[in-house]
Amino acid sequence: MAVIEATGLGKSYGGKAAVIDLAFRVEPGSVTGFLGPNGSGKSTTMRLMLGLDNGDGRTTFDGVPFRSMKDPMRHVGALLEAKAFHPTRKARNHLRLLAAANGIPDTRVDEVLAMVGLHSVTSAKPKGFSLGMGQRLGIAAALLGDPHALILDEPANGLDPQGITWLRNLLKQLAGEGRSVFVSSHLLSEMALLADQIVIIGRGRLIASGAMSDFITSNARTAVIVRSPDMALLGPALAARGADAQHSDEGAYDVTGIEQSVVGDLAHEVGARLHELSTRRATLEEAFLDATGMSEEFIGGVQQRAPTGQGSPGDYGQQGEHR
Amino acid sequence: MTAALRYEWRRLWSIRSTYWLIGITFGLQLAGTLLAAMGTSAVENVFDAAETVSQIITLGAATGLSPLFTAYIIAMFGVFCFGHEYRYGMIRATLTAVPDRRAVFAAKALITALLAAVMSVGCSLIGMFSSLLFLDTRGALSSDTVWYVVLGAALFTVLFGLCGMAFAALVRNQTGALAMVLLVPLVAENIIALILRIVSQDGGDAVELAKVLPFDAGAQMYASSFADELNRFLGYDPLGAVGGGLVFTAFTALLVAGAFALFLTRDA
Repeated sequence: MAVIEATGLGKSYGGKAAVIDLAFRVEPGSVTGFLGPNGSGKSTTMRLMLGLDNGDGRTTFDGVPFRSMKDPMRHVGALLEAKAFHPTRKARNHLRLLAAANGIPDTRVDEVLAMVGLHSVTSAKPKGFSLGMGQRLGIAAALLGDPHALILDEPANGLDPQGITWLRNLLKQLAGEGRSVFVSSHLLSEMALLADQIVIIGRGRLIASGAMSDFITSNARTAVIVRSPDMALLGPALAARGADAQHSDEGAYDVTGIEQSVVGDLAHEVGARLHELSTRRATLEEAFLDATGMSEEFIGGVQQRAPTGQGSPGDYGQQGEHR
Repeated sequence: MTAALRYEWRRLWSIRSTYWLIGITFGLQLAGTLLAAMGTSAVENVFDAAETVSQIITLGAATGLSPLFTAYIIAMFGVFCFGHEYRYGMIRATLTAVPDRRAVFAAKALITALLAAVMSVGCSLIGMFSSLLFLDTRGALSSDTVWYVVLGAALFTVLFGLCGMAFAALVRNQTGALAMVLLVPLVAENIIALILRIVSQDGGDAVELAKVLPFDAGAQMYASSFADELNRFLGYDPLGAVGGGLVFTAFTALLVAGAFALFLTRDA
């Protein structure tokens, strides 16, 4: 099973850095989500990992760079863009083409087409494929060599809800078999269900990496909710433990820097009554937005338009500020 | 390298354009040579058999007065081998299947050259078949004159196909490369030659430079004795089959080397 290790990845376009000294590790048996705002360098990073773009740094799969591999699709499966196929080459022939270069038998082509649900269109020309079908064909190509590692760039794009569920189960199953799965997505709610580990980048730099649960728990929006008529007793005790209690709008307190169970013990010690004691966990989206707050490459803006209907079309559309 | 060859071979035979290009090339060659042979048969006792066969199999290109028509179609194989990669975003899929870029490039060049050679010889054989149907040219088929033209046309077509491949790899745009395959030999070289002649009208020798215009020089590889006589009559002294072939080979080598260097260093 392949450990993916990226070190010192860097890439510039016309003097502008797109990826800067990026390093991370993807462990076997896990799905690692690769997150970042638009233009943060995710796709560039994946291309660098596979040696498709020339840049700095090195990525190895169990110590071997992709370009040095014999029959690389047997080790690393990749999906980099939807609809990367000739429009009149039949789906089956597209995969047979890739298989031929990697010593993969044609029987495997039929297996993966069935696996991704395209068994009924094996002889169809992909020019009529929807985006979702194109993605499925790309996923089939990635799975063709039964690889130890998968690198997938936005594989859920264009998939319908059933397709997304199918993809989630498939990737979890593949990770469960001990493979390393590295997948980027804009769908944070989907990533929250799928990934065990995360790598977050912004403006080409690493912002966070590690276990998804740790990332969310460490976010400032994760807090213990305390509602008590005896805050005069409990407040100083919390402060003495280094916790920070902020009064919220609904008469409760958001306490950070302390576990829920410790708050309960403290309340018992000082004799404070508790009407509510619970933990509010940040969502991945909240944690992501906090972590990448100043790392967006492209920021949209919408001006308020007067509801009288007298505004001109130009009142909208101040989008696309480029920082 | 074998992986890249397997990939390229299967790539070639899994798209429709391969089949229709072969069909068009051989179909038009058959129709053209049949018409040419039929037309020649109507003229009594005026032909040198070897010269006539040479003109029929090249559809008149051996006179030096018209381009080698089939080479332009066959060169499209060269254009498509890289053009399709960039037009349909296949290049990244190709390089994840075969990450060794040297091997990918070499396999494309090798298969383009092989296909161009086989197709060109096939076209010559079609021309011989047509001439046999209408003319008493059986004896000419064993003459060196004819086989030099067959060999020269095949070499020219191979080099032309490699130029098409190099154009596509350089500009990474199929339409642009197709335009270059047509415009560089048919338009650009003629304009340059015309300018050189005008400049030389007052006694200069700039017109000598026209001899090394690569596609024109390469055409000397399949020029017949009729072309030599015509050139002498016009006072033009081209480089000849060997010299012209070397010029065209050097030009192709430079073009392919540039495309290779860029293919290795550019982002996919």
